Amino acid sequence: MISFLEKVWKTLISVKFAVVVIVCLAISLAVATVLESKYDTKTAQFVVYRSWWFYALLSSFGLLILAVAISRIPWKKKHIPFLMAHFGILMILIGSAITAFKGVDGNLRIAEGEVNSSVELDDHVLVFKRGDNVTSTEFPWMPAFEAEKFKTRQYPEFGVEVTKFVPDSELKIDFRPTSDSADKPTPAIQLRIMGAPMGGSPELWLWAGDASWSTQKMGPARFLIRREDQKDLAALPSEGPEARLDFIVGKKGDLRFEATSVRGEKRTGKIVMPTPPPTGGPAEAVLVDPEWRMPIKIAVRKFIPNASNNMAYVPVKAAAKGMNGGPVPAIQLHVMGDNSGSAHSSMWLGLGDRADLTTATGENVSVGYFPRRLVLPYALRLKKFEMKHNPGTMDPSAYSSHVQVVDQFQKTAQDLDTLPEHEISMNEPLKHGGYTFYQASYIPDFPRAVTTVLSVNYDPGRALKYLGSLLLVLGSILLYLSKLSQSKKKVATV
Amino acid sequence: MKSSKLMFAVLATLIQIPSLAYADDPPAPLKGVSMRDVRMIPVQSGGRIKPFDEFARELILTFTGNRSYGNYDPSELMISMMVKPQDWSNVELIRVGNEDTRRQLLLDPNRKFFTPNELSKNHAFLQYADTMGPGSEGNQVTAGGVSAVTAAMDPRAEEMKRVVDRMTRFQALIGGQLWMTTPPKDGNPESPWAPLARGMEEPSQTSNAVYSMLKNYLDKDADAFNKSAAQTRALIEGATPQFDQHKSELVAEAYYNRLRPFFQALWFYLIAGILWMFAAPPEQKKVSFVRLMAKSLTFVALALHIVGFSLRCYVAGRPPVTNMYESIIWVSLGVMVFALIIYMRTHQRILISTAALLSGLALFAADSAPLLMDPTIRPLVPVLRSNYWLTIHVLTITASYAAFMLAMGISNITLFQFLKQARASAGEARTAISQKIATLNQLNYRAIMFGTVLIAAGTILGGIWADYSWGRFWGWDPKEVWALITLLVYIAILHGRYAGWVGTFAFPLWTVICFSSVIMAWYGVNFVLGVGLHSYGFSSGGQSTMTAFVVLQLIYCLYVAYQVKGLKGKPQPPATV
Repeated sequence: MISFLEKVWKTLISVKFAVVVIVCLAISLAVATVLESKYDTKTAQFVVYRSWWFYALLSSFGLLILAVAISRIPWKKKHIPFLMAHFGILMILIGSAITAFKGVDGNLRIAEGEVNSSVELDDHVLVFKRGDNVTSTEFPWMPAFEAEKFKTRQYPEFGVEVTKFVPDSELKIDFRPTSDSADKPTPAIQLRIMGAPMGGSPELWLWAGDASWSTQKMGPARFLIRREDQKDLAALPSEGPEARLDFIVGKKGDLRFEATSVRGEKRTGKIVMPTPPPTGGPAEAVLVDPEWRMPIKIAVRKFIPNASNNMAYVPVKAAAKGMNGGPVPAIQLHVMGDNSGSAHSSMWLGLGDRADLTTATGENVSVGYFPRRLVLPYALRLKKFEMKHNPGTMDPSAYSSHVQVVDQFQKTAQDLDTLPEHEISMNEPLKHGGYTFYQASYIPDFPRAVTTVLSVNYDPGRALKYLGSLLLVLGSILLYLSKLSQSKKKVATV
Repeated sequence: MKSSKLMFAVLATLIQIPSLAYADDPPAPLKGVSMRDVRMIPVQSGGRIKPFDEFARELILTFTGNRSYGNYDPSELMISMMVKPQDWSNVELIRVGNEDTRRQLLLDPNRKFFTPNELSKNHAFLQYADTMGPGSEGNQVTAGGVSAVTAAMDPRAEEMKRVVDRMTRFQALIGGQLWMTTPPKDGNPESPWAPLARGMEEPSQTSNAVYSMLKNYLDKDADAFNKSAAQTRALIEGATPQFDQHKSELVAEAYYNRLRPFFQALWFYLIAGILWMFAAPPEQKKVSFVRLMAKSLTFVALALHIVGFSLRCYVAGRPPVTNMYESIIWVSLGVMVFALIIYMRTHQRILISTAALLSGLALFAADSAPLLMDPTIRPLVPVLRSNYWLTIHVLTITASYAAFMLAMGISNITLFQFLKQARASAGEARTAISQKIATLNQLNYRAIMFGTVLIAAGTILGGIWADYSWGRFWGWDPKEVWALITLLVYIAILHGRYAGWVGTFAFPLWTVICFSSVIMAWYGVNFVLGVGLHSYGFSSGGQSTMTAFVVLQLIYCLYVAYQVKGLKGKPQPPATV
């Protein structure tokens, strides 16, 4: 036993073992960067940076450094540079471990004029809500090659299970004919807008089944679909001057339109869809001319008298970044014990989505798939977001957030404006209550006002890392100088 | 957005310009005109105030891929284009660099340059230009405030985008949209200037002066042109907000452009590097002509290099270390400085020779591919606007590249000595070479120690900067990680040497191989991987050259290793170094 330990110790303190560990580290890091380039950052983290074996490799690196330092006991004066450099690395490693396990690194988004205290973290959770009972459990991300082997995860307490996971997906919306609730059909219509002033010919779906789908606004024009009996939608108040185009579905499934110009002039007409229904380009579609005194015509591409909304998250390539901020991870939820295959028994949730379900036992459960959040003991209010440009260009030269720290529930609206202001700009963070807020980026005009993205950070390992860095650099400089004086005499002339 | 709107307007009018698809000779420069004043006219462009000379050179680079055009003074070329747009539209001026792109546009695949008229009547091209309109940029805003979507684009699409940009700028130039001639009346240095064409609707003193200058050029009246040029310069200078602050920078920039310090320095370096090889050793007391020449050429090259570096710092208002071109300038200077420092202690001429050749070759590479490594001075993106940390962190990291580059150079020579030794027959010659090798290894060791300390410090400083501006010390960002990998592999060499694993021969061999890691950290992360937070430095191109370099180095190492294997069994040189 003793001899075995001795062997382990001898291996630990041998320089050759150190070289092997260093080379292994270098190779795994190189592999990680290639993975990151080929897939994405999350994949590299899953496979390497946050994997158990990489932690083990780093730990053995730390262990051998410690062993080597101990093996030099009794320490002499000549060992100082060596000890400084090696203890420096050890302190950086320990400091990093503290940061990784105890630190906080997240994002705080605040729209201009608004208050927020909830920090979005990197990992994801499933939040279940049944009555007053709210529980959240971790739902780890995994790359595509792991997701292929995904095994159903059951949450019997709430009567649901997760049957699929897609790490990178985009929401695909599709309306299909249905025979559900025939007494109150939910018609859908696909439009293409021709001659829109912003260029291109955008397409959109209107669907009477859901308030958020039944009307859409584009510039000063509003499009709407309703059944004849949906009086509330007909009386929808306008937001300022707008031109309106209503598609009205009669009791027999007939379609007509009612166009109102900005000045209030009305025009109506019938729309008869050809049979078989148009499938291809706009040439086959029915054109509606609302006569808005704008060169706009609307092509009705598809009309489904009674449609159901089929939303699905379809996998996309990880590197592809769309206009809407790129792909999101998505899960497929399934109500346990419900094998009817209906739209209510299983559904897709993208990250940030929430769904209300009825379990097989008839209970109402709400399930959300969110980034994990950390609620700060105080909130920040974005008073103003400022951007400067390089002279004569649209390239931003600097941007900054003027924020106020708000103690929650204590301030009235009037008080807010009098709170002291702090400016957070690139390289000029705000420190408050143990957290540091950095200007990370911004989202222009989304959803309404400009939104600043602050990076929120709490790092208990910082001091140790800085001290270790200092020791490492000083130690290696001293090592260099001592080696230089040792080898001075040996240099001959070529 | 602004430029794409302009592009559509321009391309729409283009189709109506009547012309035949043939190429003309370019109009000749005018005799007797002086560009002395035109060159110095301040222009607002690319987010800063620059002399007209620089504005002209950047445009020539955009159009043709070179910073100059024939025997034309760049400024005169711009004037000529604006005065004779029809003539220039029939000159083979616009570069279409990628052969696949040329095939895609049904253009002659064997030509590299095409006339603006040829392109503007090319339906395929117009269609591409149309699809590359608004929206193609994406709306991702990253920490640097730059769009990071373009990182890994298909080279054909990338070249197509460039050609669209070239054409847009050409049309904007001849349409008077590009040259900003009228400074804002409010005197605010951040307000945009008005382009020349605005002078048609709202005549201003400055635009009128420019019009009369252009008219004089069209009339071939050299004297009148020179007079009106001086007048125009005085007027625009007078109207430029805070001109006093810009004055000396403008002079410095124009001088920097005319001097081309790095281009000159590189030839001096290369000649000096070769001369040093043949220079007599310092033990010979008699004055050697070759040594004198080598010394003075090195001195001139270094002086030019330092002057150019300082001028660039002065004009940009920051150290030149934000893109590939600038880092090569700094690294090649670093190689020389490290070589001189070690030389002062060891008096090994081979150091200066190696360093001069390396610097010369590096500067040559930087100068020969202006499209790949943009030599234009640009304002910094927001994340880099913290001069203090930027300066220290980047300068330290790149200085370590310089030390490793020097080590790589020395090691290549060491390997060559091994090759010579393997072929030498007599034992005495072998012993002599062994001694040389021992000395070279000692120099290599010093260079690597230098580099390792610097890259450790630089990586940590990068961590401190990242902590300061992004809020995390370490984030496994590919640029950080490759700096760490570089540190690790050189530490592995040093420890392997300490443990006796890395001997006299393996030491230079591994030094050469591990330089690939520096190439990856320096070039590869930005040009090959193209991911991560250091997105402000991304670009593409040159992969084949860099791969060829790495592969050639590996082949050389393998070849030497194969040859030296024959040495085994024969008495080895003592491995005491």
